[in-house]
Amino acid sequence: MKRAGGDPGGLWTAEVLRPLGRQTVECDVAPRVMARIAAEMDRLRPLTASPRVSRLAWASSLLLACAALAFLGSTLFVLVRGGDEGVREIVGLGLSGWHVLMVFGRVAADLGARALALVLPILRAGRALLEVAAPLLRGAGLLAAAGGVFSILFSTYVFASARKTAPRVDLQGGIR
Amino acid sequence: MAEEPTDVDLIRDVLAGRVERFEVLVRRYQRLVATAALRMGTPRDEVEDVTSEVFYKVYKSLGRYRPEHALSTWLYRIAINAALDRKRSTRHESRMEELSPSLADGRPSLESQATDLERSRLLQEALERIPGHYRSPLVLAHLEGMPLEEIARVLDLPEGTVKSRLFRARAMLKDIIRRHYPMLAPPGAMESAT
Repeated sequence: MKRAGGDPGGLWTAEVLRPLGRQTVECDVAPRVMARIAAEMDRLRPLTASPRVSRLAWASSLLLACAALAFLGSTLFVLVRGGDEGVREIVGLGLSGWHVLMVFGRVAADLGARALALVLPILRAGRALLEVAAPLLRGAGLLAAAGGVFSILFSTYVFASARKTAPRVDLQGGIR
Repeated sequence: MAEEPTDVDLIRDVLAGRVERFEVLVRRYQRLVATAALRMGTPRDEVEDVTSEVFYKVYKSLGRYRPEHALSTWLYRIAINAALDRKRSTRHESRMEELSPSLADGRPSLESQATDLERSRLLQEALERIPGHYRSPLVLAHLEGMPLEEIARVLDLPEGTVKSRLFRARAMLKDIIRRHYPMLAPPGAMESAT
């Protein structure tokens, strides 16, 4: 095993822990556990349901949901077809709400269009400016790159000269 | 001859309402749980309490058991958590009780048995100085002999984390033994380990 800093390794640990590894416990807790389970049986509904019961519960709740939905749909249908007063009011309220939404939507769209009309010319001007300035920017970029290359060459030259004149150190640590 | 029922069969029976079948599971695994609790530093006189608490918890949440993993993996997880919880709640001041004669080590010589018990007592003291989240992988790897993959499943941690905690726990153990229990170091091993 590869050792990390301070890790004595698996063999060392196994050797150290061997006496403890030989220890086992003989005890019989079964009567105690079963007595406790029996005493609390009423409070403790054994655990969660078994898979079969879960599937059954799931299917029956789905059926119930479908039945409830069908009941709701048919009730609404009967109310609408029968010209119920409450339904008429609800439909009227819904239509008014829809109109209000439409009006607000139009106002929001108008505001958006005005904002765009203001911003678009500015964006266009910016783009035109960039197009005009592109050759200048390119030139500046080239100049910067050339400067970088020159700087590297100069550094190389300086280091090379420094190495030539630097004192040499031998393997025993002495300076020649 | 009737075949031994598997763990899954027994669990299925219990879930179907045959609660008495749970006793078979308890008898099958009580030694494993009790030993794990003891090795995690539970005092001998509290091992039975911890063990029965573990099985009670197991019974209550048996419906959540997934048979993809061995029941022992799940039991180890609950046992280790129960042992650590017990430790936190009772705050033993390094109180190490005498190990009772019911500890079975399977060794013939009384003298060597006594030496072993004394070493075990000191080792438990040393292990108690290691924080629980480092001690658990150490106990599972070197006392329960579990592979890294299973330890990761028991502790619900990534394998990399288990590995690093194991390294750290071993380093801590070495340091504790060097400082406080030099008599526990294997002869000549401390020098080679440092």
